[in-house]
Amino acid sequence: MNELYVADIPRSFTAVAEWGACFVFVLIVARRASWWITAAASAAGLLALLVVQEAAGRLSLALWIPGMLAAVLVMFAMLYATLRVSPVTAGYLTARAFVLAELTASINWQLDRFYLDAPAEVKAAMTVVIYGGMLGLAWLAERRHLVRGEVVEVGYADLVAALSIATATFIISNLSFVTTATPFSGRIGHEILYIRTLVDLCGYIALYVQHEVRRGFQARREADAMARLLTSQHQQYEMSRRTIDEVNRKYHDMKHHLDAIRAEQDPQSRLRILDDLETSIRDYATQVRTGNDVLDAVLTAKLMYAREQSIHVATVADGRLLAGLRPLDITAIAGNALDNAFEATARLPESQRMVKFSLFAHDDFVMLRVENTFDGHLRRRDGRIVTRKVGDGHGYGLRNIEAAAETYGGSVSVDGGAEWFSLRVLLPRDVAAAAR
Amino acid sequence: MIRIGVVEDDPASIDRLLSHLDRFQREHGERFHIGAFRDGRDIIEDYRPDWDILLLDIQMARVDGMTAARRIREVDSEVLIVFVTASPQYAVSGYEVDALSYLLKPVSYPVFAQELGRCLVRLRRRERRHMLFTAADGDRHRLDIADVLYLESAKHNVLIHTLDGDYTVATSLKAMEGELEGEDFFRCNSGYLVNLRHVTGVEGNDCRIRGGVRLQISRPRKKDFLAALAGYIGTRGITA
Repeated sequence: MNELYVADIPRSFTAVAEWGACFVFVLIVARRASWWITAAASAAGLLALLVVQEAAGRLSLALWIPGMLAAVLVMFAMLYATLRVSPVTAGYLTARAFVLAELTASINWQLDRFYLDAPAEVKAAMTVVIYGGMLGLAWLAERRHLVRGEVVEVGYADLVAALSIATATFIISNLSFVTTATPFSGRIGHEILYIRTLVDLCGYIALYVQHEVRRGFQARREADAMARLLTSQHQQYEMSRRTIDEVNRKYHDMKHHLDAIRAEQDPQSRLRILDDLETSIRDYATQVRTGNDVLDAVLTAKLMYAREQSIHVATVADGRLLAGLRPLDITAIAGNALDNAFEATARLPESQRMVKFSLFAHDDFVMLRVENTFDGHLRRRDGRIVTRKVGDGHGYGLRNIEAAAETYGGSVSVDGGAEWFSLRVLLPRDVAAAAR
Repeated sequence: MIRIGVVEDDPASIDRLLSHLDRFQREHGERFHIGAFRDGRDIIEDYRPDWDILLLDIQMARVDGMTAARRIREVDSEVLIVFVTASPQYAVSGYEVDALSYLLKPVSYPVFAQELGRCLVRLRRRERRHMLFTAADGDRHRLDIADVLYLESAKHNVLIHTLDGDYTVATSLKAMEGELEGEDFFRCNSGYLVNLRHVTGVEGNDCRIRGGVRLQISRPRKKDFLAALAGYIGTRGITA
């Protein structure tokens, strides 16, 4: 095999590629500090990468992997120091930057080896153009799906997936350099370089697509939340329209009652009519005041619905305990919980339809509990309680409650007895009750 | 015998509550001692803390239920107070007097029965459960389970951490877990068995125990731990 072909990329080139790839993300994602500090940290990162790569280049081949890992750690440190991200997200971005760096360095070296006899100045110019071009393209591509200055948050699952893709890409692309004795190794100089570039390109594309899919999921979740909000607003509008109708009807009733009282001579009958009048307007005095406007709105709307369905609802709620929750999450938790409860009572005769809503503090926790009477049948799948409704758009109630509670580090548990079913949402008090 | 006081100024409501109590005794084979008061004033005049459960009407002519409850709480922190009211907006102030729940007028029997059932569970839980064991130093001890904070596995022993001291017992955590089945204890990781009633908070992957100790919750158990905690706290506190 020709020595010249397999002579591998100079260490300093790799270091510059790794730094450049990190810098692409530094330019896009929200930064921790001012430009000056970011620039200083980036310069320190470049220096550290050059030192680490040079040191690794002097080690024996056996220590090649530890050398690579040291460089990856420096990339991680640079991203974590400059960007406003969690360690998990920094790891995720490191995986992506690493593959981008490998691709850039690989394609440049492939061309460098191909035009072996070109003068040094031309080669230097070519390297600058290729590095600039590759990283510039990556910047354009990444800018499409990482919104500028936005805080990116990924979960463990995304991190594991990205690390797996990056590791696999790295192993397969460098296999030929370690041994030619595998079915997946190239045997001719140029081929080896070309294979490496192709595999790195695939790895980069795979990571790019992974991020796109993630964004798609997020967008759908947000769309769902918006749809829910719109539905509940529409319901509230319907409610108020019905309320207005009802007030008009009551107004006419009152007029009749008043006429009757004027016409009535017998004091006993007068009192009886007055009593009737009082009972007919009693419901309208019970306004919900929990100390949380959003919760009040949800409860008021739901209680009206309950009255129409002749469900008996009792609430004891200290709404101040939910001051730290986003309005959308309050509607998701309280609204869904009450909807589920109402729906379960619908299968019972009217006299047995009962729902209890409580919200109270216990040590450093906030407990929101909704209990309802039900017919004792629960549908379970894999131990989870599932909906008995048919069709799309149903059965997300409990999952929406769970998703909202987990945002605040809370949890949900359900428990069905013989007559009463209860759903409990537990939230950490310091998060839930903190004034926003 | 369990003693229940009904404080209510409206005769119709009294009759309703008393007939619910009769029906409950028939259906559950219980025997209560029942007393009726016509106003908050009647019960707070020379109040003696020998009632187990009080059903208090909130709107009464002379001394309303909330005022009566505050006065009662000054001398009796144990009695279970259940408010009876026609309007739920008073509910929030019930926290001040540690009321257990609210019954909305007109009180229907199923709701009443569930509430009374909860009160009785609470009372019976109060009847102290004890554990007996021989400590490593040979002394026999009798411990109130409610005083146990958590149990810790240490080599071939178990350390029992309580509100007023620690004990070492030659046993395994697994055996203790079996013994405390149904007492609201939870294995938050392989080395600790925690009494849920003394978990005051959760921060990240730690739970805080009354007294300030923090114990780690192992990752795979965290979801179940939080669910158990939600279940435990869900059986407490005020309800409508």
